[in-house]
Amino acid sequence: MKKAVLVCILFAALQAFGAVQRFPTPDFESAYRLPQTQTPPPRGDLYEYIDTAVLVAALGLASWLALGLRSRRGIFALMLFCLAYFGFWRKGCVCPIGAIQNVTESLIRPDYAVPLTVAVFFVLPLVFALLYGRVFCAAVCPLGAIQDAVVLRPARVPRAVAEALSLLPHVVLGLAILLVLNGGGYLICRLDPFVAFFRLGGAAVMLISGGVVLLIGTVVARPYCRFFCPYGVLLGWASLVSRRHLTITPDDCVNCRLCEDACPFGAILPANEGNPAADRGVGRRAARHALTLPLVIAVFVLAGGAAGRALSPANRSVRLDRQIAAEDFGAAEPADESRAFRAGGTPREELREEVRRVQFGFVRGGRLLGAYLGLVIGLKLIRLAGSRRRDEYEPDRARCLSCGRCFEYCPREHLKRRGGTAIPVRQHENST
Amino acid sequence: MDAKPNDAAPDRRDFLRTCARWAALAFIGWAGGRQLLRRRARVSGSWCRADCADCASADGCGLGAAPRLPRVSRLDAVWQLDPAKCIQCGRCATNCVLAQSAVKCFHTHAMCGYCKLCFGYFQPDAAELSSAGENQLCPTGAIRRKFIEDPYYEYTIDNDLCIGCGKCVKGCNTFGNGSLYLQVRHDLCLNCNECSIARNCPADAFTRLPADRPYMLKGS
Amino acid sequence: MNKSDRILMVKCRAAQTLAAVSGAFLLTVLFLLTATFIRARKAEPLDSSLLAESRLSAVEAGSGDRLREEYRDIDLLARRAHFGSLAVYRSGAVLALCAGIVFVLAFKYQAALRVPRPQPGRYAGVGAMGDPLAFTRRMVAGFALVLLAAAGLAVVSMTPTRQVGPVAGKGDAPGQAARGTAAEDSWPGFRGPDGLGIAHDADPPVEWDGIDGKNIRWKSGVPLPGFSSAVVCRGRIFLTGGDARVREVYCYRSDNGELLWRQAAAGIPGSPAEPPEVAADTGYAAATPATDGERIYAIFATGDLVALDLEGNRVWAKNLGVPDNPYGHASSLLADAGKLYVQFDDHTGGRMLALNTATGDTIWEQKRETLPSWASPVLVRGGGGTQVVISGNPHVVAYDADGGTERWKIECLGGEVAPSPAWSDGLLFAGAEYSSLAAIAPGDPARIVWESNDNLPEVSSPVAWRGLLFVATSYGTVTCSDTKSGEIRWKKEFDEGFYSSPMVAADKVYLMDRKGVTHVFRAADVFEEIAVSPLGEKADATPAFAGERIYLRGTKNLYCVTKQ
Repeated sequence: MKKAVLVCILFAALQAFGAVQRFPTPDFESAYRLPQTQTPPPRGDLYEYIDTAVLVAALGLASWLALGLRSRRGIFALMLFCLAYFGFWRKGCVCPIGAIQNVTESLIRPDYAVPLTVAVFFVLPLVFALLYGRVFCAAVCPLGAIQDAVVLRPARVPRAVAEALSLLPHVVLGLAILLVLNGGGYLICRLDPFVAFFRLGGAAVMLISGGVVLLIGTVVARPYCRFFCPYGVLLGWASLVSRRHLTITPDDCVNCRLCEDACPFGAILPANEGNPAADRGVGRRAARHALTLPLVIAVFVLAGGAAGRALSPANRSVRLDRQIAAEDFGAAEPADESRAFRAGGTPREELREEVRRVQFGFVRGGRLLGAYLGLVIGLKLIRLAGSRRRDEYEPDRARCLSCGRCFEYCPREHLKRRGGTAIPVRQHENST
Repeated sequence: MDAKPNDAAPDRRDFLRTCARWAALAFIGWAGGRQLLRRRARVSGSWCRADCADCASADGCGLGAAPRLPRVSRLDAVWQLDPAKCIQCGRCATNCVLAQSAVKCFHTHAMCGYCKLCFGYFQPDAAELSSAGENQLCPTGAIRRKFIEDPYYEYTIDNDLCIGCGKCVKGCNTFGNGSLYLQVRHDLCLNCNECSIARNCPADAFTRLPADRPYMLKGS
Repeated sequence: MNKSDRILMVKCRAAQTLAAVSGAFLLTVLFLLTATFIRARKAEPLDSSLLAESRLSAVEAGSGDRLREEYRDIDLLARRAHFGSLAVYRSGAVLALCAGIVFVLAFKYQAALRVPRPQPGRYAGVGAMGDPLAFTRRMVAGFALVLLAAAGLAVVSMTPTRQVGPVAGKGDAPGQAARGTAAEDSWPGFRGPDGLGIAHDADPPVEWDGIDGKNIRWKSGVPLPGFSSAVVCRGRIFLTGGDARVREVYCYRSDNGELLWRQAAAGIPGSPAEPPEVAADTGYAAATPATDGERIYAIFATGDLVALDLEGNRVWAKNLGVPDNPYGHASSLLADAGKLYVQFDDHTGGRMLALNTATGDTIWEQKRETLPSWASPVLVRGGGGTQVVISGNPHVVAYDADGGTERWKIECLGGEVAPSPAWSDGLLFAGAEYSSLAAIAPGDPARIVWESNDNLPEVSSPVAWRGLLFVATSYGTVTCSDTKSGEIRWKKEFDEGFYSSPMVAADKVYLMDRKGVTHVFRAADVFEEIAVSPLGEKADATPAFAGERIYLRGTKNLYCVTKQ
């Protein structure tokens, strides 16, 4: 104890001499050699190449299995492999869902560079979706795979609920972009429910919430994919305009209606005769919704601006500024952050300037987010003004995850599998 | 075969689809190409080119000003903590997504004073200078104290036991030479997109470094 | 049932059994993991208070003592528990994963063997399988409303109830945005707005000469002597003066210095028959009056407190008791937002009062355990509310301006506390000669950031401006220190001492010495003298700034300085 006091006095005295090492490194008389500091390197570049190669191969294989070979078993097997590799082996990072944030940052902020792998992971599934539909969701995405694996007794979500909840991914997408562009962190990564399972450990909250999502997933098929995934929004748009898409029937649909409850995700659009009574009002309804669209957008812009400002504490500088202001006026205890800030020597006015800038960014971003959401909601209401007349049963291009479960239900498929040549429908008609 | 009715409608839809598809592909191509060719603005800290011979930085690098780099960088970046900014708050031990934090204590022996009374090893109220549990600062006993010659002792960190709490770092930096400091170990770190420790660091000491120079060692 | 069907059934049953077993195993593993986690969390092996207490007793005990052995055992157990639980999590997670895989595969296999029969027509209706479109539209609209409600909730919950955050305003002044109805050309009290010594929006001249009249607009005699400073409001200047016979309030017209009225503070109930003894360099009118734009409030060494309207009519008056202190009452008044703050510290203990400016009734009163002091209160404004901060012996205390509750308090002064506090950027500065000069970070608890024992002010109150603290001593030394670290940037010795307080106006410091000579220098971290302006007579009062004018009170006259 006394020694400590003595050394403290010595230390205080030495302080006067400036930044000299307080206790000089000794000259050893024995043949002692100073050990070197170990610096284990991070994983090598090799994984970047392997990951990209596996991704390309998996996407290609998934496309072929869904559109060419039409094998649900094959898709399931590939899905398990991708779950094992991208999920448990690579621990679910990097993934295209989170890559939205990185790519957005790189497009908007001039000082951020996105790693090539991340950009590839973002672009490739989109390109394949533009060509072949959402084959990424079918067999490659580890988050989708883990949910798909626990689909045990899927119940049907009423369409109205599904339509309403399908707005949530747009909100998540918008919020994630808003936060990442204004220094609010990576929302999608924080809200990833399954990464704790992939890492085989994590915070209790993450594990519990992930478990809850998986439990829900046993009865509501793929809840995260359908009602939360922001990347699904982009994939849905790409799939809408894709060159080719998975079809329920290998050739022609005979309207046998056997596939009506085949899809656990509710993505099959039935053939319908149309309803003349209901159709009468369609034009007027659609026009009405179209006229109210600007009003809806305006309301959401205002709400978005206000909400954006309210979300600004997501940025650490804003939080720090509030903490310091609260401390200055006796409303809060001194925290590590404010102590570190004061020790750092940045003038308070500079922090205030930055906070003003950040809050302005949040307000502007919030307004844009509001406009986007208003537009999405308005367009959805217009689309729901009436239903389109359809001749055959086909998958909803935006929603179909190309999983291939519906193949089993189609008699044309069975015919093809057994016979090899399909009997054209028209011939049957002629013969009777 | 008879012509299907409503042939015109699907054709129009297909045409619109094709247009949209090509537009999307073109946009992806354009944006991607732009990012690959465009150079990132100069920014201090964070990114740096591996090949220092080409570096155009006037005042020498030291992880400082970097020349303009492509927006899409082939170089991977990993998380690291700046010991100069660290205030040893202890959050590195609790915030890592791993059960045992990837942040560990590092020791630059060249800066160490090899003191008998090591302020990073002993508690301030240590009864005597022995390796008894009540005298040690480290809660898991991860520092090994070895006698070299009188009055010098060598202190080494056992990485399996270190939890990254920073208590030894605090002691060493406050009263000693500051040769102990926290760093992210890259054989353990998962390199998450957003580091949980970085998010919660009160001193904002975390930054990204290029994967070929992933450490900010003291005394180097 | 033929053979193939039977085989299928067997396979199915086997798969179901496997699924059940692995499912049960999975649940068991998860349960055990949760149990370990809960136990480990409660025990907190490495951080537990039990461990810390045991350690303390072990350290205090002698070597070889049983307590030490006990501690070492507990410590070993704690470390084993910590690393042991980590190992349990690791192995448990792997087991759970394997069990999960087996379960999922077995379940899917048996489900594949029992494909349910398709049931077309289960979901009938127009529009894709089920709900009519109208209902769907309503649901979507409902969700839109939910989103708007969520946005509203975010706004309500995330916006702090008081505006804690960047407060609009110029430079250092925290209260600029929130100030009340001060008239355009006004100086509300001792050391200006909030009593902090900073003249915002002032643009005074730097040079004048009281002897030959350069830049002196007018000069008026003050009937009775006093050391109080001038206050300005609505084109009028107010002063107090007094002697043992009578104490008066004077009102001058600011344009030409004409004495408009003088009112005696007499006939006040409770006023002492014999005025108390006061020191010669304090007098009976040392406390500067205060104004809020409607009335003028003045306090004298007799304890008389009067409130007059701007025409000189008495609105209310009371006696607070005769102050019992060696020199005479000198704490100036501060009026703000309907309250008049009175610091009344004498030998009988201290009192801090907030009176209703319209009626004189006590809004709140705080008794203090303190020795006499001659400092004046200052107002500190911010997101947490306005606080009244006073220097006293031995505490510097902050009271909530509205309710009077003590917000924080720190013991740091001693001796004769006459200088009032200064405030800048979150730090409060208080000092007294024979004590120290401290920079205090307010809060609960407040703490001293730095302290200095040299160049302490005796009467003059320091002023803080843009990271610099200016202190003037009564023996002529002026120092400029860094507010954050206390490091002295420059120090200048002048021939004469200073009782008047340094004032900051237009980025310059105006400091009048006891001979009435005002030194004007830059409010910067290097000393740069701009002008030296004599008054022509001795002076101890502090200048008052209003627009382009300065009002200086000497021992005999009141001067109005402005660019001619």
